[in-house]
Amino acid sequence: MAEPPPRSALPFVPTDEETAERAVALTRDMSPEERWELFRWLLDGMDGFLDGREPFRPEEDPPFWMRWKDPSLGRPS
Amino acid sequence: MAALRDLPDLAATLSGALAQRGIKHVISGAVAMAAHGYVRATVDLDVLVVVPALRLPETFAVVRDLGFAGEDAEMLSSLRDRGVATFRAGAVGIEILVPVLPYHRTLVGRSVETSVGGRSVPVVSIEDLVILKLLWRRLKDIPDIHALLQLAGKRFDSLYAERTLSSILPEEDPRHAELRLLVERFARSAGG
Repeated sequence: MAEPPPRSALPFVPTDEETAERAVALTRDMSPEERWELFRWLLDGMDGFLDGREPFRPEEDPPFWMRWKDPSLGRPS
Repeated sequence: MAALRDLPDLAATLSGALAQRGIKHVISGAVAMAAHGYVRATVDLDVLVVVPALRLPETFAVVRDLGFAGEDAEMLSSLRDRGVATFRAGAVGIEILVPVLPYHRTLVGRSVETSVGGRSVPVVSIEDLVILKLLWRRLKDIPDIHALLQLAGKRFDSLYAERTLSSILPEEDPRHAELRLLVERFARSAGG
């Protein structure tokens, strides 16, 4: 008897379109002030998490013009 | 000490102070994206200023008046080398950007007015945010582009975006095709 195919989590991984829709669905019908309130709430959570510590900042990006002149930059290798 | 949760109000206060001095500017980055309806975390307020170089110290003084640290010499050097000067207060950063390309100067004229607590604040349009992020194209920009296109839906002005990108990048640059593909996938299929 043939071995069953290995299990994969791929069917459960949302597509790019689904991820994008989830990112904006909540605010779609909000007023500007409601969006700001949601933004403040999110940032307030970050303030609480940081608790006065400096946030992690990644290494500085190369200068801007290196990015727009070279399309290979920023792409996964 | 500045708190991240104050970023929207900080944007309104800084914008008001710059406008009062006649300094052309527009809010960009995550705060602009939040204004359009894509809310995600950030630790910076990005502001593009279009001002003669002689008035940059005046712009810096406005930022320092809000409690942020950054010396003129260091900030001018950073603007010259990197096109951005970062002021800090606790966890919060204010990034002052200056135009590097002629295109950047047009962002102010195409800005969209939003309201923060009754105060009008100019933010970069969705189309221009997508273009800027395609020009940068860091890994973190990709999900931002997807969300912005999904948000704009059929209202996304793809003709403007394609024409603008064509005026900046050489014909063979793969980002032209990428933009068309992304618009097809997100903007045209979304319900917006």
